[in-house]
This record gives sequence, C-alpha cells and structure tokens, in this order.
Amino acid sequence: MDDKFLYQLQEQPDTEYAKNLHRKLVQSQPESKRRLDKNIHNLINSKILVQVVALFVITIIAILAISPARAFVSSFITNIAGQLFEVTEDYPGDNYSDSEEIIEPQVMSLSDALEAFPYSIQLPSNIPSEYVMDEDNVRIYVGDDAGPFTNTIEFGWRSTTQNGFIRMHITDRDLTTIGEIVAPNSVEEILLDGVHPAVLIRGGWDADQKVWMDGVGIRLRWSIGNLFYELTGTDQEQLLKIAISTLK
Amino acid sequence: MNKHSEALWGLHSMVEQIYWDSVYTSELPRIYNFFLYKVGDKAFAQDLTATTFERAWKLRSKYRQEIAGISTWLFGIARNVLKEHLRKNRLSRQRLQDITPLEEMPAKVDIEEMYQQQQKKTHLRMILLKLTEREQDLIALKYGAGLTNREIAQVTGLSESNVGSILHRTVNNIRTQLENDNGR
Repeated sequence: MDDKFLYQLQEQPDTEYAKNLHRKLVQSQPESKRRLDKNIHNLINSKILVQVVALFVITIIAILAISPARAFVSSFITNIAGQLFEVTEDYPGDNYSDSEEIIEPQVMSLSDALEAFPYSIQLPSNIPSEYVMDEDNVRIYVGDDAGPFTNTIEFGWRSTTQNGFIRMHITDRDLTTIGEIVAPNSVEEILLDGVHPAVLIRGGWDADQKVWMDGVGIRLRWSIGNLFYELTGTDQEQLLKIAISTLK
Repeated sequence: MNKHSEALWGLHSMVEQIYWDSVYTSELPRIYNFFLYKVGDKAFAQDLTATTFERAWKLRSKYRQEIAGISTWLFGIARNVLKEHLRKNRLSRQRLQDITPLEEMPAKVDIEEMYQQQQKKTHLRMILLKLTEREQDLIALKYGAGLTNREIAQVTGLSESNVGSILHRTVNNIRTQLENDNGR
C-alpha cells in the first residue's frame, strides 16, 4: 500500500517549546519530594530520624487500619478500552457527606423524557421478548438544578416472567476519566459486534461487607458520539445483544 | 551505611529522572504529531501536548509497566485530553478547518515550489479533517505518531486486523479524493 504521502504532515515540535515544557514538568515535581531528595542525608544523621521512624510506623498502622487509605496506597490506575479505572483490592470507603445536596430526577414518560433530553438517543431495538419497558421509572436529569448529573437519563425493562430488571443509563458526562474504583479482574474490554469497544464490569462494592461482590450484577458501558451508555443486568449475553442493537 | 543509603536514594531518583526524561524525548514528537494530525493547527497541538504530559507527569507514580506500554498509556491520556477539550469548547470540525495556518517559509527556497507544497499539505489536512472520528484517530496514530498497527490496537481497543483493514480502506479513500481533486 503506497501510503508515504501521509507522512508529509509530520514535523518536529519547536525546540524552544520542547525545552520550556520539559522545564515546566521538572518543576512540577512535588516540592516535598525535591526537599526530601536534598535533605535525606542530614535527616539520616540526626536525632530526627528516630522521630521520623516513629511517625512512619504510626502512619503505616493508620493506613492498614483505615480501609480508604489502604485502598488509595495499594491502588493503581489502568486504561481499559480508553476508560480509566482505579484498581484496588480494598474497599474504597463510603464517601458520604451529611451536607451533600440530594438531587432528585424528574420522572416522566419515556416519550416526554426523550423530548426533554438535549441529545438524540440510540434506543436499543433488541429487547428480550419477556421484558417490558418500566414506564413509571423513567428518570431524567436536565437543567441547572441537576448539577453534576445534568443531561442524564435512566430507564429500564422489567421481566414479566421472573424477578429480572435491565437498566439503561445514558449521559453526556465523560466517563472515560472518572477513574471508577474497581476490584482487580472485575473489568474487561469487550468488542460489540467485533468492532465497537466497550467495558464490562462484573460486580460492585458491598458497603455492608466492605468488599467487592461478584454476584451483584454486570454493567456494560460504551459510547456513541459524545454520549455514554451503560446497561445494568445479570445476563452478559443479554446485555451484549441489547447494546449491539443500539449501534445499528 | 549512611553513605550507602544516601547513594542508593540518589541513584534511585537519578534513574527515575533519566527514565522519564527519555520517555519525554521519545514520546513528545509522537504525541505532538498525533494532535497535529487530529486538529491541523500547531498552537492547538502544542497546548494539547502540554496538557497530556502535565497529566502524565502527575500520574506517573501510578503507571504500571506490566499493564500497558508507556506509549499505550500516554496515548490513552492524549485521546482523553482531546476528547475533553473538544467537549468543553464544543469545537466543531468547521472551526478546526478554519484554524489551519500557513507554515513559516524558510529563506532561500523556490517560493513557487514552496507554495505548491504548502497547498498540497493544506489540501491533505482538509481531507483528514473530513474523515470520521475513528478514521481520523487511526490515521493520526499511524502516520502522525508513527505507531504500529499492534500499538494502535492496544490504544484504541480495536483488533489488530480491524485496524489494518480500516487503515487500508481510509488510505485508499484519501488517495482517491486527492486524485479526484487534483484532476478537477
């Protein structure tokens, strides 16, 4: 394949720009680390060392005792299908705040919600025959009152034969960079229709047991244009079929 | 013992610094060209490159070599930076097309030839900006950043064969369009 002509737009970044950016990056190192590098020798030779060691031991004990802190230090960030996740074995904490404002969605029919939603949505065309739309629970967050949830819509389908529910969550919030905290081996990349990248998350954190539970459901997340779609259910094959039908 | 500790600490810092310096030197042109191919504007590409490296430098202690290669990791950040920027600024493709400046002309060159080359580049840029998001992504990663199909597959989540076939089709379309436009 003759494709050499496509390299002609390549160019080297401006030297001055490269130097300035490098300088900025080096200077952006935490001040504490730079100071530590500089003073480590003096510290080792002084009585302060004893105090530092004691403080260090106390900190380690505190970290091991407090699960959010333990989760933070033992975590790492990984990129799966273009989405960032923070992976840890430790429960990340509840992170509830008494003063946090509770934002209530507007509940309306699906047709009204689709009209109120500022974007056009790819509704799935392949819903399992035993599932029906739960018209009473279509929730939409729009307008300034919706705060961080603005431009989010949620609805689902209820099984007529068993106690099953499939929920769909659509938002224009960029979910690629939120760094959702998950357990190791709970997230995998999957291709919808063999082409479209998506993320499959198995399980979730159990606030009572303070552990990741595998059996609490599956989430499948993908994007179309600027919207992120997320399906929640229990049957992976079912979710995949529904998701693929939004791409057609 | 004290001297050893100090020496080891200094050595560790130095090795780490050398590693990230080498990452910066090798990856800067690739990230910059990825953005240049995507947005077609130097200043804009420089801004996005700076944001990518600043974010990477902040997160570098969390980078794990065993999970992803450094290029895959950096390009993951770069693609997110671009996505965020476009969403924040609601930049349309039309606007991106409008911000394609002429390059500076070096002295002592045949002005006519330089002008024609410049026209060809601008023409190619215009065609790239009209590609679909995915095609643009793959072209920028392949011909701007110089990634292999395997590396592109890791960055985008597509299979290697998919990357190959999409690139093949896209390059053919670009060539046809260039030929058609030149024939007019």
